[in-house]
Amino acid sequence: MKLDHDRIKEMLPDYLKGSIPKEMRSEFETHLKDCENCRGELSFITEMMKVEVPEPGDLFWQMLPRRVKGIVEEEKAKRFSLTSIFFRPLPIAATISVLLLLVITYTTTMQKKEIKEISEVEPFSSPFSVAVVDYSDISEKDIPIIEERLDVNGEYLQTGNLLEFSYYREFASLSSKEMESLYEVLNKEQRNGG
Amino acid sequence: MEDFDLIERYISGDEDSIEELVMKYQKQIYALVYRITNDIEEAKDLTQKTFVKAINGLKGFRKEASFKTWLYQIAINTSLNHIRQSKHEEVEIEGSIMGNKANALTDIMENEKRNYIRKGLDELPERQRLAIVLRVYNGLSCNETAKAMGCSEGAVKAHYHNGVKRLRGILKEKGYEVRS
Repeated sequence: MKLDHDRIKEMLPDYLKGSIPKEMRSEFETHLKDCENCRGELSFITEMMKVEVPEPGDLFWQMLPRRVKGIVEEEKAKRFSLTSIFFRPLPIAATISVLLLLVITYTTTMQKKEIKEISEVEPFSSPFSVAVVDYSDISEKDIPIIEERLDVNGEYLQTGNLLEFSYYREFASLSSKEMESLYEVLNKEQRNGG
Repeated sequence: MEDFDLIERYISGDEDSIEELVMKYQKQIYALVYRITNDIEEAKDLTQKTFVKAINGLKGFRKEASFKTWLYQIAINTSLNHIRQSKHEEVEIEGSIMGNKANALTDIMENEKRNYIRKGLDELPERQRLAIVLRVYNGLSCNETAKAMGCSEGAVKAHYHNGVKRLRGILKEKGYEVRS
């Protein structure tokens, strides 16, 4: 590769450093002999290189590697302690407890709400109420008999001979739930002796 | 030991390799940082900061570039950021720091010339100064300088050429023309 003036000028620091390939060296030096401009720049760079850097002292060189290692280890430990805050057993237990408490509170609230909703849909009624009694399996013939036993409020008359002829038919028409409610009422009034 | 081996050793938990890396490059980095800052104490402090930053970032170091170039990049950025933040004031360099006993007239003149070169370097635009420092003082090739400065080789050549030309002009103004 033929070296021109500009290329040689660029390579002057490399020449002073001794990093010019051997095969280029003679061509390089021939150009320097002939070119005053390049020689001037080479002298200037040589002058620049004489500007030394003040020595910080042996102690600085001895201590620096250990100091850097110490700082790096210290920073690493700080980073580790910051991350470990989030993984300590006590905060974990506290967090789990709070979460459990929240879940329990939520579940209880939801259950209460459900119960309330059910009770609103199916309010408790007296087993003797007309609204509760299922008349679906009662024929037209039975209606006058039932009507006879209803009072002005639509409640069955519990006095008189209720057991006479409608007793079996009436109870047969009740659902198991209604029977249970009836049994509870009777039990409460201590009228289940028979 | 090769730089990449030392880095591998550090990543796999051998923290003693940090010391070896620092010992290998501390003088080069100190000289570079000093030539950017022109202050011994700042250069010492910034050399330490450069190594701490480099070691902390070793896990993210991609082996596409050499460790040396990468370390130079960190040193340059750390020094320039420091100068920008602290609004660096020019520091008078005392002859005694250099350890020269300027008795003879030639010595006095030599010292004066070096001080002018140092001050002239400080007056150069940042990129021109960096190109000269890396090429002349740190002995980096054009390619290595381009990588350390984060620019093209062409830009390095231009910065270097303009910087040297300007510096010669500054010295000429002071009556110190360097001839062949």
